[in-house]
Amino acid sequence: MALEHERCRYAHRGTSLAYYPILNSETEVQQSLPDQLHWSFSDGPNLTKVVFPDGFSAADSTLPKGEFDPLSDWEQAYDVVFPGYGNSPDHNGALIYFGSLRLAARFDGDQLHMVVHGVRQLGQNFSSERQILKARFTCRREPLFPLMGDRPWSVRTRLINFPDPAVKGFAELDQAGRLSRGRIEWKNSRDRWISGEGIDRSRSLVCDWGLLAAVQALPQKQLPIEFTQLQTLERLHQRQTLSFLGLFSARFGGREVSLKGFVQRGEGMLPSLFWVDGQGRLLIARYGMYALIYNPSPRLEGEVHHAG
Amino acid sequence: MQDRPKPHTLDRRTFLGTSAAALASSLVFPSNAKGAVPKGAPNIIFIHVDQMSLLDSIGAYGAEYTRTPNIDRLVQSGTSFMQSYAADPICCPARTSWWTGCYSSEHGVVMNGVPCHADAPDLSPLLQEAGYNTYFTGKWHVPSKDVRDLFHVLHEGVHWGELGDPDVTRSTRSFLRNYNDERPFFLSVGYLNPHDICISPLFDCARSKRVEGKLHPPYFETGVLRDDEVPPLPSAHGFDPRETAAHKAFHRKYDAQPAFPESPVGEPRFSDWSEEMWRMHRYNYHRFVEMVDREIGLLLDELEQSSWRENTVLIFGSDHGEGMSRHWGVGKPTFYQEVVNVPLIIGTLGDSLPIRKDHRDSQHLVSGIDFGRTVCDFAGADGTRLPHGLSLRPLAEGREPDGWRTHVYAETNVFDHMVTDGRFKYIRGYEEEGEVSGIPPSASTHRVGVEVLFDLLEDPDEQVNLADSEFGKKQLPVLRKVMDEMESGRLPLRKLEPVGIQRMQNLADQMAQSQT
Repeated sequence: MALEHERCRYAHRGTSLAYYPILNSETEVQQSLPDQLHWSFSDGPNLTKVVFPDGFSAADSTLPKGEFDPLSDWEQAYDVVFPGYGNSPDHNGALIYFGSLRLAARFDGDQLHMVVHGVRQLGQNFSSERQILKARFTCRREPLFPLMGDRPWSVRTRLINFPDPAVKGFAELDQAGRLSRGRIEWKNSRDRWISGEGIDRSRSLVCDWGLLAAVQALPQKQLPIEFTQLQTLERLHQRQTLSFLGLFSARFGGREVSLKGFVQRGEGMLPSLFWVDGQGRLLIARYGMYALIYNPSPRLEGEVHHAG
Repeated sequence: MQDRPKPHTLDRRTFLGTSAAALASSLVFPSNAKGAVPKGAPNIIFIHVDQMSLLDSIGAYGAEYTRTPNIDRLVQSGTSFMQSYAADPICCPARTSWWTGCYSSEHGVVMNGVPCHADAPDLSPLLQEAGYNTYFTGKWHVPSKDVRDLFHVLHEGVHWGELGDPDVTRSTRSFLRNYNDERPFFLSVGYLNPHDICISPLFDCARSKRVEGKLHPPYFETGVLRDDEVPPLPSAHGFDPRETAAHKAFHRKYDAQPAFPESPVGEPRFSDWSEEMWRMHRYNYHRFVEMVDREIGLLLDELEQSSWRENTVLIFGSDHGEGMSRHWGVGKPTFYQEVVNVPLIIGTLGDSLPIRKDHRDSQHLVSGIDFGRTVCDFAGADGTRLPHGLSLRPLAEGREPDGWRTHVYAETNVFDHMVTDGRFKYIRGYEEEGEVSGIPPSASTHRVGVEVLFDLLEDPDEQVNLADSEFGKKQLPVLRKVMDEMESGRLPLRKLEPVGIQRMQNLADQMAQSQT
């Protein structure tokens, strides 16, 4: 039976529930069931009334398809979203989609090499201004993918489309760092290694981007586990704990998705939750003020590429 | 091993040189300075955060539930003013007071979003006339004044600190690496956090279950957090209900028509909050403080390694504090200590400037009004063009000034005024019935409603309003006289801008309702 005419999607903006038909492929019976969302990703109208209806719950769903091995080379992408509050979503897209994040993982023996591409719109004031981020780092192939000692990492950020020409000289920042003898070291503007903050050597030093990869393959029996986090390879947050939260059966646009949840808590972070599907793909990460929502073609990334 | 330029080999002249290359590169950084190049004038970096209290927030001051190693470095680098008070403890009015040297009733920004009077003075042009290049990154929030008319703006910030503060840091670090001009710079670095604490309650409420009328967040029953990881209720959680009408209208009838149009509908009713919700509010606040502390650490590390380490004055402050579950408080504005008493540090990382290190000044009363004249004093700019304020430079350098104020004055919520001598805090709540005049209140034009008196020495948690007590009756005449004098010392008051008059009317109407 042709399904297009059956894909009736009710108006989702301004209503509290969205109904979508689902298929039972054996009986070709359609059922309309509301989305079933965990409290950690249903706490804002931008998520429930815009991002999921346009993404996971859409007729042309952005939920991943096919098999996935979190311990073989992979590449995944996410929208960076502000969940919103109140009853109505933000009508300005710049207040919903704050950025995009693309992670690429390459496994190489006992090492994991990761490359991160990020786009952030700063467009609450200027609609075209963007910050482009690129980072590279190497991890040890251990449960939390900790940063490999004495292997430098790099983070490069640059602003584009800024309106003030006086900013031109200050629009880029190249950072290099490494973990050496229990201390974070970073290169100053004269290309010299400078010793920074010491870390607890009894705990792994983990980059948040590496943690997104780690939760995809983390055996539950390893948890809870304590670690130190180097947020975006820049900010050090001591005393972090990652725990297993539990299983949750989500439903997006009539599609049942079994999720495994992890929670991180510690200094400098609100409790953050990570949801991984049955294949091991990270679908949702929920931080204090924002969420990462899996999307193979994140919006802002597409805009930047389009604009050249 | 530190790789820091030695001062005698890398002073500004040596570093910049007079080569054609240096001259050519300076063309990439157009100057907004207008005056002659001042000799020996220090660079000035103003690091400001949003909604950080002096109380319970900074490790070096004894905060129990947060760790702030980098703000602690600022504490060690200079003089901490422990009796520092916001001129008006909410974002727009407080920030406008920084940049104009005026009280809210004078510059006109009596509430968030109310436009500033067009003729209010500006600090940045004074610095430019003194030969400084002036730069801004991050939060501005001065209504109707365009930051880009006043500064070169590296990055204008976003609404949420967790999303935007890293970009403020990156722009600052790039600036410190690449600034290449013989002129000194003034750089304002505006972080947003811990202001994200305004939003996290909305998420927590959305996630909560209602049990016997109280909202309970899911974190404890689901094992996300252990009970011992979350602070207890503060000792100052309760409050004396004898508060001003403006305070009641704003804070105690939270689910009525909001006082501010931009407030989202359906904000939490605090009477619905369980003890767990209040405790989570404290927990989240401390995490946001830690977030911004780490940003400040990156900035300090960069400055430490830069050519500007020795000859740079650092000023650290916050526009206002946060309720932190004290007095059933979420956010601002109030005159309780947790909101009106704010951190202020003047320091330097180097050893060349005569700024006293690791010193706590609990004696001198300081106001947000003082910021402009303090900066002008360091910069050699004409601070007399700012109407009010005392320069803190002598205090930061360990010199005793000729006289100092005996009381500090503040305004908030249009109708509430405060004076304190550091021990006794007197709050006068003005009221206005019917159609408002649009002129900010004073004793000669408005009726005095509820008065509040706290003894901060005997009652540091501000639990008992002494205004109606025998003790209060003896103290109040003195404090009323001080208040009258300070109000009289303001510039001539004039009508607010039309938006301000409307907001004043809205608040007056709500005040009338809150009395019933």
